[in-house]
Amino acid sequence: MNLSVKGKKGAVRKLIEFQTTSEPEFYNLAFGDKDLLTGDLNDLAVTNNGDTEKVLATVIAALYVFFDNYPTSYVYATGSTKARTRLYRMGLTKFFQEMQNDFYLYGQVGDDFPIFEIGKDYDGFLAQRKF
Amino acid sequence: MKTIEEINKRKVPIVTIDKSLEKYRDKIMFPEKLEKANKMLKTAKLPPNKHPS
Repeated sequence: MNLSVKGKKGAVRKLIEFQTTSEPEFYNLAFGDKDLLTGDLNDLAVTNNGDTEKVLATVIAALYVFFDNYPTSYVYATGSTKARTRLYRMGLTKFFQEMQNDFYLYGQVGDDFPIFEIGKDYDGFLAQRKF
Repeated sequence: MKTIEEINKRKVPIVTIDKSLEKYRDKIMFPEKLEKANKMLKTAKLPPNKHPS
């Protein structure tokens, strides 16, 4: 999926990829900026476009669409840097009330995936649709 | 097709499938992220599957 979000620096094209992994029904959510001139992708880009909340909301909206098509799957996400992972945690925290009604949410701590709790630091995140 | 202005006025993002993205279906756009995930999966203790097939 790609999306374009307009912030203070204008529209920035983003790309979300749900990657198949070595584990059946386990998808990795990869996300980054797409340079429209070169076509290059950059998951380390700090766009600083003042639109973080909108971007995170759109990623979560994309998650709903993905699960509509792959309802029994897991989706995993981690940031390309620790700062980016913290940003994802902020997004989950922001939309937690809505999301916990629709998803089983887990936080990654090393090799373990305890249930996600607000205020705890995690290495990554895992979601499975509730229905 | 919605314009950027229309989209940005909305609180809830609109997500539609763009058919032109089919060209990327068999491409891995972020290979290093996939590698990282597969490495994690080798030792991960995943939570019980809520929807076992």
